[in-house]
Amino acid sequence: MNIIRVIPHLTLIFLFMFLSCETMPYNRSHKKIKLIFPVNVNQWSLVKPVPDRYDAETLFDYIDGNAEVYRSLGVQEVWAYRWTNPQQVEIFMDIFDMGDSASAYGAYHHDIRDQKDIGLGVESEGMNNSLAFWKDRYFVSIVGMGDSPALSQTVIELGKIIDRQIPKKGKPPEITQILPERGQVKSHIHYFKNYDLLKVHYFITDENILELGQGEEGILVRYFLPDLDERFQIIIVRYKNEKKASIVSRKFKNLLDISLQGTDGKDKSEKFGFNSIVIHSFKEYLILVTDWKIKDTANMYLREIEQRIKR
Amino acid sequence: MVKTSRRTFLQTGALGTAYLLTMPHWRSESQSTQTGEKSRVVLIRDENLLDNEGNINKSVLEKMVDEGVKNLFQTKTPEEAWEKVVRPEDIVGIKSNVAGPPRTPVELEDILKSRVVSSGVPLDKVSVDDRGVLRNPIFKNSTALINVRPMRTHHWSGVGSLVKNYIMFSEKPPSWHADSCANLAGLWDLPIVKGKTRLNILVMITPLFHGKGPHHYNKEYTWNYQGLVIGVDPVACDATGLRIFKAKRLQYFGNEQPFAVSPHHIQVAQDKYHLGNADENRIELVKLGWEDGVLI
Repeated sequence: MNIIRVIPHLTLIFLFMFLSCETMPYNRSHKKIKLIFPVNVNQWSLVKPVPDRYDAETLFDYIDGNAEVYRSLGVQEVWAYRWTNPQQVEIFMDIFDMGDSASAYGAYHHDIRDQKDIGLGVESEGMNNSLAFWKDRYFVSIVGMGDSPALSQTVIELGKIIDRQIPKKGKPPEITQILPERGQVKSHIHYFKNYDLLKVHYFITDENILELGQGEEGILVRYFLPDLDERFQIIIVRYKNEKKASIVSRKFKNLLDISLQGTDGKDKSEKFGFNSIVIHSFKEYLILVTDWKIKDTANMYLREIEQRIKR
Repeated sequence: MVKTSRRTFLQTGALGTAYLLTMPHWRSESQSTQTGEKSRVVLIRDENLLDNEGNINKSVLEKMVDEGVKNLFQTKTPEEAWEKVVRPEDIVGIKSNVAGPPRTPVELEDILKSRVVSSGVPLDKVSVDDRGVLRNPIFKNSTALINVRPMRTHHWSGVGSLVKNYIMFSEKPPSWHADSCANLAGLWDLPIVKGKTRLNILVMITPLFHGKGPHHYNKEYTWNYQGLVIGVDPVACDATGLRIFKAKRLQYFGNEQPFAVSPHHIQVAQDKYHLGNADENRIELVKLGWEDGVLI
């Protein structure tokens, strides 16, 4: 008798405990992850159990021009959840399926990451009322629209709930492994798959001089050597083959040569975004070191990158 | 406008080919505009605009708007100033901005609409809109526009600015996104807006001076500045807002932290499109009201 009385209650509890159970494509073989959320996290509850869903085309409707960042990295789908508490303090919870780990890494590293790692996913950053992390092919952003300890705690708990439900970890893009460590400003690492995304972080020139194509990728990293008072950038692009890297390198040098000779009729001061540059191709990589003051420093870093590529 | 463009080819190094360009690139420098006159900009603040919960005191905001417009047009009364903004026969679109946070405050939209109506424009000839402007008959047939939006940092354009606020007048907004939205001032040549803008108000009540993530928002990066930047020249208003942002970022970060994305579209609006003045020495800045931390 007791069991019979309990069953309806258990059913209700089960329904409310797992209010939201949505699936997201896990990979192209149609495996899916399931996201399950409790009915309440502290005082916050989901505004509706089913998230709003956006793809690369409709993402503008949700986050306007910010969509360009995620589109340029190949976003597949976004799930947008809203949580709210009795005081109507909202939490925006967005899960971006970026298609692969490299793009999830890129989505996370589009922003300057200078706050504390809170131990979620592969890399994470937490502030007093928001967090972001990436794991496997997913980039996760949770933002509280207020300012209170309870909100901060809830944001972290929501992050943990998602983190637990993404089974794989994923790896940073391989191109990150050829970056020299010394002087690397880890908060300013930006991964890109097209020239426009690079240009929002660092302006080289208006012309699509790097000619990035499908399946090619690049990384921009800032460096600071305080003992030499040297600040510079390294940009590495990996092309499909050595030939293309070599051609792009040659074209870039030609463009500079022509511009510096003043034969193209343009105001050169408007053309380039760097004060100094070293251009070098090695295997399928194009390596640029920009804004150095001491050329030996640039060459030293080129050598190290070559060595790392050879490994 | 024309700068020295001397550059030096350096040498071929052991590995890569090296070039030393002796001049910094144009985006980091101010250039004088060719438009001549200075742009008058009114920066008005009131420390009582927000209550302890962050709610807007509408009556304070009304006074700020009226006082600001009066000083901008240098009239004796706000009514006279508003007569310079709109005429009774005008069809008036108030271009707001609902993306956010922060968005254009509803209270400010109401105040502007009521001032336009008080100036003799029939209620059915004025409309407030943002994303629907291309479908809105008032905007489609408008003879006058009032441009009002908050300043906040932005993922792709550096800052959300008055110049940028007209992107919804484009059939294809993403087509303006290249090079950190450098050419946004070109929007102002679209037939639906060209030559119609009578007043620009950059809302600096709780500005967002830094941002992260898809919503590019964190309350940590806002502060109660409680100000409005009012002008006829949108570029001058944006440049003033940007000046405040730079000072705030210097105060917050302790060093000159570059914007995650360069807001160079404001300088381009001056240098390439001659839409207005971005250079500080081309702006006549009138500061009214609360002085504490006015330019940080």
